Amino acid sequence: MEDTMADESFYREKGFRSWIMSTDHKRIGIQYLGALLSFFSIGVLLGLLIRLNLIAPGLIIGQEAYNQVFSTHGIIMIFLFIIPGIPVAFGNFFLPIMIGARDVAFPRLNRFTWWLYLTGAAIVALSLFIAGGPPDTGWTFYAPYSIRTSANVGLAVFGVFILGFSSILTGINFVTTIHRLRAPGMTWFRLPLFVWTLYATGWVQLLATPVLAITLVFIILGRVFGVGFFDPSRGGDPILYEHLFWTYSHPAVYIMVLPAMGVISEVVPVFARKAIFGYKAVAYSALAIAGVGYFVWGHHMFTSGMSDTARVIFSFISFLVAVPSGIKIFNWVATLYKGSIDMKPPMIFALSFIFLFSIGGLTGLIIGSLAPNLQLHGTYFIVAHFHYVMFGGAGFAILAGLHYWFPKMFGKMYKERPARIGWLILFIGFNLLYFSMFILGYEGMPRRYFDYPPKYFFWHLVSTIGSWILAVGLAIIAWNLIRAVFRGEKAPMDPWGGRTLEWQIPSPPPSENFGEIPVISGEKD
Amino acid sequence: MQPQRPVLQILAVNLNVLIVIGFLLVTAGEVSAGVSWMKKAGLWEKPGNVIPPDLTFNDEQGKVVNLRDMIDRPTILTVVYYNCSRMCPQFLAGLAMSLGEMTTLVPGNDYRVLTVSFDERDTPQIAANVKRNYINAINRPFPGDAWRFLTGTVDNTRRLCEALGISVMKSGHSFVHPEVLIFLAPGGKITRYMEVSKYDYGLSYPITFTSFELSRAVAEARRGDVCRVGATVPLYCFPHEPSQQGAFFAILKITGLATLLMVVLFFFYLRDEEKLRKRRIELGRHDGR
Repeated sequence: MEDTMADESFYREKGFRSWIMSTDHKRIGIQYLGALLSFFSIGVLLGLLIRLNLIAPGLIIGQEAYNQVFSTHGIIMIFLFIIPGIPVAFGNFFLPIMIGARDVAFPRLNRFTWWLYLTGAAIVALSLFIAGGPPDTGWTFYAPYSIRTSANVGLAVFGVFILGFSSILTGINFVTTIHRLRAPGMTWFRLPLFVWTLYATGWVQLLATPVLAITLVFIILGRVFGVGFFDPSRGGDPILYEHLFWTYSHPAVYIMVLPAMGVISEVVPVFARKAIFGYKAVAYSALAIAGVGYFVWGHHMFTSGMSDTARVIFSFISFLVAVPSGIKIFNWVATLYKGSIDMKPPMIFALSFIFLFSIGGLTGLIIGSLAPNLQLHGTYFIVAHFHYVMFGGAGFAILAGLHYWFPKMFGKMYKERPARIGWLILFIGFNLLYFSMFILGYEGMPRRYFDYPPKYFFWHLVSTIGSWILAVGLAIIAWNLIRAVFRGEKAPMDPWGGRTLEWQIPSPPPSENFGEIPVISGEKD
Repeated sequence: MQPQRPVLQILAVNLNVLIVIGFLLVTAGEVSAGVSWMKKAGLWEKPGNVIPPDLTFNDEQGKVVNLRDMIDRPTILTVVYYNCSRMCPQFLAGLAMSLGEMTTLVPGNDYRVLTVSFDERDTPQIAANVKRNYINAINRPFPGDAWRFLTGTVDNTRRLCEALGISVMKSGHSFVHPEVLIFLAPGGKITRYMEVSKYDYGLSYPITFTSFELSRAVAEARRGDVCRVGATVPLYCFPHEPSQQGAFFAILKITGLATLLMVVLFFFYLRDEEKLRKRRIELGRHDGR
C-alpha cells in the first residue's frame, strides 16, 4: 500500500499474484472481506429494488423478474455474504493472532477455500446471466419446483454446493488451528471469546454443511438425470427436501450468528473497560447453541405436514435454544453494569446489535410456538424476524467488528463523527424498514408476493422509505471507511485499549504476526 | 396416522414391520370374512338400492342405534374414517361449510347428515371429538342431532359398504377409498351419488358443494326420486408413501452416521495430539514454534 507503512507490514508485497497466491491468513482475510462487502453491496441494491417494486407493483419490474430479484437477493446475501461472513473475513485475519500463532494450521488449504469461494461465487454469478434466467425459487430451492423450473437453478445450486465445500474446509482448518496452534500458556479458558465462537462454528460447518451438499446434489440429479428423490410424481417426497434443507440451514443460522456473538463479546468488554461477566458461561453457551441448534430445524416446517408429537418436540427444543442466547445477552448487559462505557463507534454498533438481536430473538419465540406459527408462517412477520436476526444481528456485528478491527487490519484510523452519523441513519432506516414488516405480517401480508390489496400499502410505503434511509446510512459508513483506507491517519498499535493479542502487535500486523511466539501467563485479565 | 416423515422414521419402520406381521396374521386367520372387502378400492354406484334393515351402529355416546331408524327423513350419508389426515377432513370440512351456507332448509327437520366410519379402530369417543369440530366448522347454529357420527363393527360396516357399492382397501396403516355424498330417501333408498367434481388447490376449503345442488338432491330424496348420473371416476382418499423412501433413508443413515463418526474421531484425534504436545512441552523438548 503506502510507503508510510513500516517495511514488515503484511501489505509489503504488491501485485495481483501476491494476493491471489498468498497463503498469509491476513491477506486471505482481507480478500474475503473485499469480496463479501462487494456481494453485500449487490445484495443491498437488489433489496432496494424489491422494496421499490412493492410500493408500485409492476411499474419497474414484472412478476417473473420480481421472483428472480428476491431469489437472487436471498442467494447472494445468505450464501455469498452472511454464511461465510465473519469467520472467513475476521476469523481468518484474527484467529491466528488471537491465539498467538503465525498462521492457520493449513495455510494452503486456506488459500484453496478462498479459491473455492471465488469459483462458487463465479458460478452463482454465471447462473444470473446465461440463458434461462436467474433462479426464481427463493433462496431455499424448495423441491419440486426447483426441479421443474426452467430458470438456472442447477447452476446456482452447483455454485452453492462449491461454496459449501469452502465452508467445510474452513471449519476443519479453524478447529485444527485452535486445537494445535495455541501459544504456550494459551489454555482453553484463556482463549478470547471470539475464538470460542469460531470453534463452535467450525464444528457446525463441519457437520451440517455436508447435509446441504448431499441435498443439493440430489436436486442436480433430479434436474439432469430425472432422479426423483423429491418429486412425488416419481415416487419422491418434497417434504423430505424440506427436512434435509433445514437440517443444514437451521444450524447455518448459528454459523452466521455465533461468530457475530463472538465479535460482540470482544467489543463490549473493551469499551466498558471491564472483563466480560461470566466468561465460562459465555464460552459454554456458544457450544450449547451449536449443539442444540441441530435439533430445531422442524420449526421451519410446522405447516408442512408433521405429526403433532414432532411439532411439540421441535417447538420445545426451539425454546431451549433461547436459553444460551439469553445467557449471552444477560452477560453482555451485566458487563456494562458499573463499567466505564466509552461510546466509540464499535460500541454503538455492538449495543445496537444487542437491541436488534433481542427483538429478532424474542419474535423468534413467538413464531417458534405452534399456534402463532400457524398464523404467521409465510408472512412478512417471518421476513421481519430473520432480517432482525441476520442483519440486525450478524450484519450489525460485522459493522461492529469492522469498526473495531479496522485500525488493525488497515493501519489507518477512520473518522468517528461520520461513523456515528452513518450509524444513526442506518439504525433509523433499519427499524422503519423491518419493523413495518412485523406489522404487515401480523396483518397477514404473505411473503414473496409481487402485489397486495390496498390495505397493506401504508406499511409497505413506510418500509420502502426506511430502505432508502438505511441505504444512505450504509453509504455514509462505507464512504467513511473507504476514505480512511486511503487518507486515514496512521493507527496506533492499540487505539481502543484492547487486551487481546492482536493489540500487542503493530497495525497493520507484520507478515508472520509475531517476532517471537508469545507466552501467555497469569489470569486471563 | 401421519405419513412417514424422516423425523419419525425409525418409529415408522418398526411400525411397518409390526403392521406387515399383523396383516399377515389377520389374513391368515380370516380369509373369507372382514378383511376380504378391503382388497380393492372403488365405487360401484347402486342408485335405487335399499340399505339392509338390521344394521346397527354406535352413536357418539356409545348407544346402539339402528341405521334404518335414523333415516326417517332425507339423509346425506358419508363413509369415511376419523383418523384420516388426508382427504376425509377436507371433504367433511367442505361439507360443513356448504351446509352452513344452505339456509333454505332446516337441518334436523328437512334433512339429516350421517357420517359412518369403516375403520373398526374408531370409537364413539373419537366420533364425539370429530363431531364437535365439524359442528363448529358449520359457523352457524346447527342442532347436534342433525349431523350424527357413527362407528360400528367390521361386519356391519362391510354390509353397509356393500349395499352402497363402496369398496375400501387397507394400505399401510390407512385406507384407500372414494369420497362421495350419498343421498337417501326416508326408509333407506339410495336416490343419488354426488361426487366431488373439482378440487381447488390452495384454498382453505378445496372441496365444496353449492347450496343449489345440495338442496335439489335433498328435495329428490324427500320425493324418493332416484337419479342416475353416468358413473365417473370418484375422488379417492389415499395414503402416499413414496416407494423408494426406504432405500433413500438407508443411504442417508449410512452417510450420516459415517460423517458423524468421522467428526467424532477427528475430535479425539485433535485432543490426543494436544495431550501429546503438552507432554512434549513438559519434557522440555518443544522446538519453540
